[in-house]
Amino acid sequence: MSLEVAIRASAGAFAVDATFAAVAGQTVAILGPNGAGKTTLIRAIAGLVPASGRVVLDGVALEDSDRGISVPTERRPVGVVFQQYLLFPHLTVLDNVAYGPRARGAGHAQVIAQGWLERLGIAHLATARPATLSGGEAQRVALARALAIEPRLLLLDEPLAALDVATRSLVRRELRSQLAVFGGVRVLVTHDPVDALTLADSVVVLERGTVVQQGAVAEVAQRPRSDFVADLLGINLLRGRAHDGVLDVAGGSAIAITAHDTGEMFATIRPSAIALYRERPEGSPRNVFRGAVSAIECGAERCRVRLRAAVPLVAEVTPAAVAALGLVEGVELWASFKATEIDTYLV
Amino acid sequence: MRRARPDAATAVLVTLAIGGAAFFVLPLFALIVRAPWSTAIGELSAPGVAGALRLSLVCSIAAAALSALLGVPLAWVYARVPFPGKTVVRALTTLPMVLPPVVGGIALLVAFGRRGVFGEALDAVGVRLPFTTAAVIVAETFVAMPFLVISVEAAFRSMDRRYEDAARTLGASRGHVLRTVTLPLVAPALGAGLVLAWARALGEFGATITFAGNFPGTTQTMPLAAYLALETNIDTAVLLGLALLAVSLVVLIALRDRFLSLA
Amino acid sequence: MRISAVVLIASLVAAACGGTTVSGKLTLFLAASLTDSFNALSAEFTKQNPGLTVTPNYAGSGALVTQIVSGADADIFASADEANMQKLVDAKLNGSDPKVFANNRLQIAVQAGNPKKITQLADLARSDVIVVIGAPSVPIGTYAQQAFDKAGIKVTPKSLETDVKQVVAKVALGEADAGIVYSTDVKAGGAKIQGVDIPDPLNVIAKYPIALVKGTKNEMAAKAFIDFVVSARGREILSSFGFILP
Repeated sequence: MSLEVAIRASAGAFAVDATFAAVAGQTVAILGPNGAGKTTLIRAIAGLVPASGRVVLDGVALEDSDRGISVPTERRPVGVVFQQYLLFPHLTVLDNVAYGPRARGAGHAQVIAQGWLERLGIAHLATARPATLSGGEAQRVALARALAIEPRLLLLDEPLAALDVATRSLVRRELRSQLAVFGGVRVLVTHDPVDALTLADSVVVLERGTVVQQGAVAEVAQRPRSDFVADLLGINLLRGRAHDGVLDVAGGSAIAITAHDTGEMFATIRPSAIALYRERPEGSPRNVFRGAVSAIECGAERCRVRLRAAVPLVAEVTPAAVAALGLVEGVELWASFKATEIDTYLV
Repeated sequence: MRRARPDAATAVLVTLAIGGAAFFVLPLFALIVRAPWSTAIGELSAPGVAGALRLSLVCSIAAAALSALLGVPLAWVYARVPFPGKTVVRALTTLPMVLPPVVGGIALLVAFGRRGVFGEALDAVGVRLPFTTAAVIVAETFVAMPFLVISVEAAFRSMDRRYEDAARTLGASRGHVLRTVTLPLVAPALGAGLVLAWARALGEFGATITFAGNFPGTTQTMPLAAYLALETNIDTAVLLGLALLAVSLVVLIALRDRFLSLA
Repeated sequence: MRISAVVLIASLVAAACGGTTVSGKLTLFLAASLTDSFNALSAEFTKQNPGLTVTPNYAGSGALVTQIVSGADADIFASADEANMQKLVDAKLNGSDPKVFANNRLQIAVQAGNPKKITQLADLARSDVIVVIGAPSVPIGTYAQQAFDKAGIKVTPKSLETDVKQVVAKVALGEADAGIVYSTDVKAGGAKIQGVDIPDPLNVIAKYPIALVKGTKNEMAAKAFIDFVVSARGREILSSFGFILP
């Protein structure tokens, strides 16, 4: 199963021109700031806005302007989880999930729906109305509803944006395992780089309607090809095995973290949380690393200092600090960051 | 513990509000006080009265139903379909709300009367409207439908159309979406519109008497019966008015304020 | 002694009112069938009395008397039958003794050209003739029913109108084939309608009484107007519209 997208679409003030591809079992993150055209792209793939170009899913053309093909939305095997979930307010949770199968003429829509509710752990909400659900519950119902039609492509438009910060991390974790169960192609639209980093295999960075960089997540994150991408993705991402408040990362280093889980784990550290010293610092931070400057990029107000260390790090400091410390390529220094500044996610 | 004293603004609002309520309550209260209760049973069981009440209820319900049948599609077109001259057309179909009902009746007569612009053609195929119960329903629909259209159109405009998008992505055809998502979402506004249209139809007088005429059993609705009773016996008129009042009050209270929220 | 006192007072009043013009405002409540004739009477009277404004209010006699009894401000009431005038008297609201100032006859109004070939009252009982008459509460309605009874026929009208001018309108518009109206209405009806005579034995003579309304604020002008209506000139005008004079 695979997806090829090469389309131009516009809706109102938003225009987008994007080309990318993905295979079954892969999650592609479309990452960009608000107004970049991400939602327009999703709607175009779903057939909700007119587009020109090609959208080919599993060898079947859903959109092909050259051959005059444009399959209407209701006949595309595409499931969509919308930004605000858009659960039908006049139907119960069960009827919401059963809506798709029923509309497609399935005989036992209710049984199908019940099955999906159980699979997502929300069977107890079957008779509830959408207005009574919490954010996390609504997200699961929306996902169940989209999956119930057995689509070959799953589109998620900012699936975590409607949640408060506390719930977001929890749901993000669940979403990762739920998506892994879905065998088709997954396209996830988000403005939050953390979503891309933790949920996706590849990322397509969209700025003002055009693709500015795409590729495997780690690759793009570590080798941003523009300031924009760098700023967007410029976050430190580590992966390792956690146990007893320590994260063992590749290369042998141990990072002190606050979480006490055990298992494969991601850790993200904001560049602005990393402090730089010419001498080894004495203080509360548990994580102190020795390294050398591999690159410095300065903007008007901020400089990004790339370090070669036991773990590759990017630190953000002021130009004044760079000058004060005399930082240039090759200079040896110390970097430290607090355990409390680290966000962790079980893989 | 000291209770907060109401400020001057609240006092003014409450006073005016009491005045507003009195505006309606006092005349209706006077009606009840002056009603000849001793002869009420006799007057109200007169054959004409039951007939007029039955006719009023049947025609007003039919007018409300017809208003919905034609008004919902009209509201949908106004809300969703752009076409040249929409502003003018919309103004024309809202006109009966502003027009004096008698003028509406005259217009209907000139259009669909026996010698009317379109009436002549209808007459040729045996369809004759004036002096029939059908004419009463037509006259009442004419004045009542705009209320329903306005209510439902507002709902179509304000509803989140992304629900329809969601339904389509789930595989629903446009017709299925209309039936299972769009219409249920405007159902509250449709309910409100139906009640308003029904109430307007029930009280309609000018267009009815001009276009449909006045004959007991066929076209003499309660408002007409009350008006004519006024010319002979004001007591009967008061009782007829009260009967209509009672029926309307029962319906409006039964619906509580569901019809007040147009959303 | 009493008689001379009355004569004295009357002549004093006459001296005060007679010979001079009247002014102010007059509100007249008049039966609908008096529309055209009283428009002419008012026009002439105000020409003679430039300081006077006359406001006529034409409607079914029953509606008018009910309004007066309920407190409507009227100076003069003229009804199309004695029954409705009696309601004013019963309510003790007449300011003078009612005087019959004109009579009227009934006629069948039909569309110009008489397409349904109606020649007599009995034709109104035909199933292909749409008949419209006044409601029972309106004089013309009761008169019509009386005529039908005299002719021994049963007529089912399609509508009972609230005043005679509505009956005329329905016939003129072509909605009704025939209506029972006054001969004065046929005369005033214009080119769209024509009349079919009802022979005397079947016809009904409508009597039109006029009276002051008690509590009138312009008794002088009201009295003068009534005097004008029954004067030779007034009768001349009424006759020209087709009324029969007593």
